[in-house]
Amino acid sequence: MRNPLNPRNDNIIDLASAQQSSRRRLVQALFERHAGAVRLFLRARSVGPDEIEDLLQELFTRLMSAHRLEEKMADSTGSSRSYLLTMANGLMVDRWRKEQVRSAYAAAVRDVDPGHTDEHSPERVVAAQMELEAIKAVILDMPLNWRVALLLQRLRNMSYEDIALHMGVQVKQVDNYLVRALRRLRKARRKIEAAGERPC
Amino acid sequence: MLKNLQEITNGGAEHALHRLWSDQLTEPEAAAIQARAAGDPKYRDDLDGLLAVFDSIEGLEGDRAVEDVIRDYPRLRDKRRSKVRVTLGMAAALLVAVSATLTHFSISRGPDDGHLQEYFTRVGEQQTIELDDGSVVTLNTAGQLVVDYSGPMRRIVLKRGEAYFEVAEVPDRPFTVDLGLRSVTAVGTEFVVRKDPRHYQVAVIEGVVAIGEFADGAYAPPPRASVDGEAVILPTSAQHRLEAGWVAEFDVERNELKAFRPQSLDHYAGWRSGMITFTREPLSQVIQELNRYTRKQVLIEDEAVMDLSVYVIVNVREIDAALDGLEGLLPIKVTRHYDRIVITGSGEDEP
Repeated sequence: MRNPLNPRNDNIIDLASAQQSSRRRLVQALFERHAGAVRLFLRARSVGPDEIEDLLQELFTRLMSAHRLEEKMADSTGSSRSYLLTMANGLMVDRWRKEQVRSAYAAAVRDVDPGHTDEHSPERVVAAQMELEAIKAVILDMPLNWRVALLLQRLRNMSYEDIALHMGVQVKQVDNYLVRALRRLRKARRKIEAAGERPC
Repeated sequence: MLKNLQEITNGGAEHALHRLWSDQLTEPEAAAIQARAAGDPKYRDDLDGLLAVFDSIEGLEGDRAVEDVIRDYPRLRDKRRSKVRVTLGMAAALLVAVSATLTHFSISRGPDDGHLQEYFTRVGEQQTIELDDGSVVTLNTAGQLVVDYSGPMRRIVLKRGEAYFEVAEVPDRPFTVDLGLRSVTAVGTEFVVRKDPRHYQVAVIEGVVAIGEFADGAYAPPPRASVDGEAVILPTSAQHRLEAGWVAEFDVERNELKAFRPQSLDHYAGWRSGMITFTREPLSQVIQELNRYTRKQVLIEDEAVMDLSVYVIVNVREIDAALDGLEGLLPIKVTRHYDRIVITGSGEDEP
C-alpha cells in the first residue's frame, strides 16, 4: 500500500536493500580481518568451539543492523578490531546477565518459569541507570590520565597505540593507566553492583 | 611477553582485560586467562563482573561530564605540566660531594638536573599527585614529600605525614620511598607509608614491597626477642620482603622493626575516603588520631576514660560529628571551648 505522504515509498525499500548489500560487504570485510582475533578473544573467555561459531553468527547479525556502522568504521581514530571485540563482549555480557537474572529469580521464586524474567523490566532499567551513575562517579574520581585513557578506549574504541599518540605519552604508559583504571573499577565493583540492586 | 603471562597468572583480572583488548593477545595468553578463570572462581567472578562494567561504560557515550573529560584533556594536561617546579638553589657540585656521607637526609642528583618537586598538605587536607610515569600519590593531612625522578630510580622522599602510593610499573626503574632511616622499594604495587617522628609504618595493600636500610647504612644491632606474641620482630639490618596484607612498623628510638598481619587494612588505607576504622582501640589513641586532622586539638582531661575500648568508624572530615558520635557511644562528655575541645567522663555508668 502506498503512503500518501511518501509516494516514493517503494523506492526507499530498494535503497534500503542496496544499503543492505554494501553493509554486507563491509561486515564481511570486517570478519575477514578480525574473525581470528574475535575467536581468540572468545576462547580466552572460556567459550567452547560450537558456541564460538554461534556467537560469531550473532555478531554478524548485530553488525548488519548496527546503527551508523559505516561512520564508525570510517572514523580514523577508532580501531575496528577494538569495536568488534567490544561487540563480542557485549554479546557475552548479555548472556551472562540473563543467566544471573534467571538464577537470582529462580532462587527467589522457586518453580517459576525462568522464561518470565525480563532483563528489560522497569526495575532492571532503573537498576542499570543507577549502576551507570555509580560507574560514572568512579571514573570521574580517577586521576586524569587514567580516566582519559579508559574513556578513549571505551568510547572512541581507540587502540592503545592511538591512545598513546592522542595523549602524547608512550604506549607503556597507556598500559599502566589502563591497568590502574581497570583495577580501580574492579575494586569499586561491589559498590557499583550495590547501586544497581538498590531500587529492586 | 613473559611478563604479560605472569601478570595474567598472578595479577588481578584487570591484567587479563587489558590483554584482551590489546592488538597482540597471544594464544598462550588466551589459554592462561581461560585456565585461571577455570581454576579460580573468585577470579572468574572478577573477570565477568569487570567485563560487564566495561560493557556498561559504553552507556556513558554522549554524557556531558564524561565527554568533557575527553575534550578538555589537552588543556588540563598542559596546565599540569606547567606546574611550578621547585628547584633547590644549592650548588650542585657541593651537594654531590656531601651526598656520599649524607644520603639519608639529602637528595643526591646529577649535576645537570636540579628539578625536584615538593608537595605539602595542611592540617585536614589531602592532595592527590599524579606523577609523570602514571603513578599516583595521595598525601594525607599535614604531610610533606619530595619527588625526585631525575636519577635512574624513581625516588620519593617522605619528609613527614602519610601517603598512599599507587605505583605504575616501569621495568628497571624501581620506585623507592625514602624515609630517612629506612626505605621502601616497590614495583607495580599499592602501599601506604606513614612517617611520624618516632614511628615509620608501611602497610602493603597490593603486590610486594621491600623494606630495609640503605645499602651504605651502618649495621644494625642484632634482633631482639619477640615480646609481642603476634608480631614478628625482624632483624633491622637486612632487607625484608613484605607481601600484601602485611604491616611493618619501625620504632626509631628502639631501632626495632616488626611486622604483623591485621585482619583488615581499612585502618591504614581508609583515610583516602575520609573514613577510619578503629577496632577495639583505646579512646586515647582514637583521639590522638583525630587530632592529626584538626587544628583545634581535642584533649582528654579524665584518665578514667582514656582506655575505654572503642569500636567505631569515623569520618575525619567531620571531626565535630565524629565527637558527637563518640559522645553518644561512650560514657563521656565533650565540651567545646574556643581554642580546644575537652573530653571528660560523663559521670554516668562508669566502667
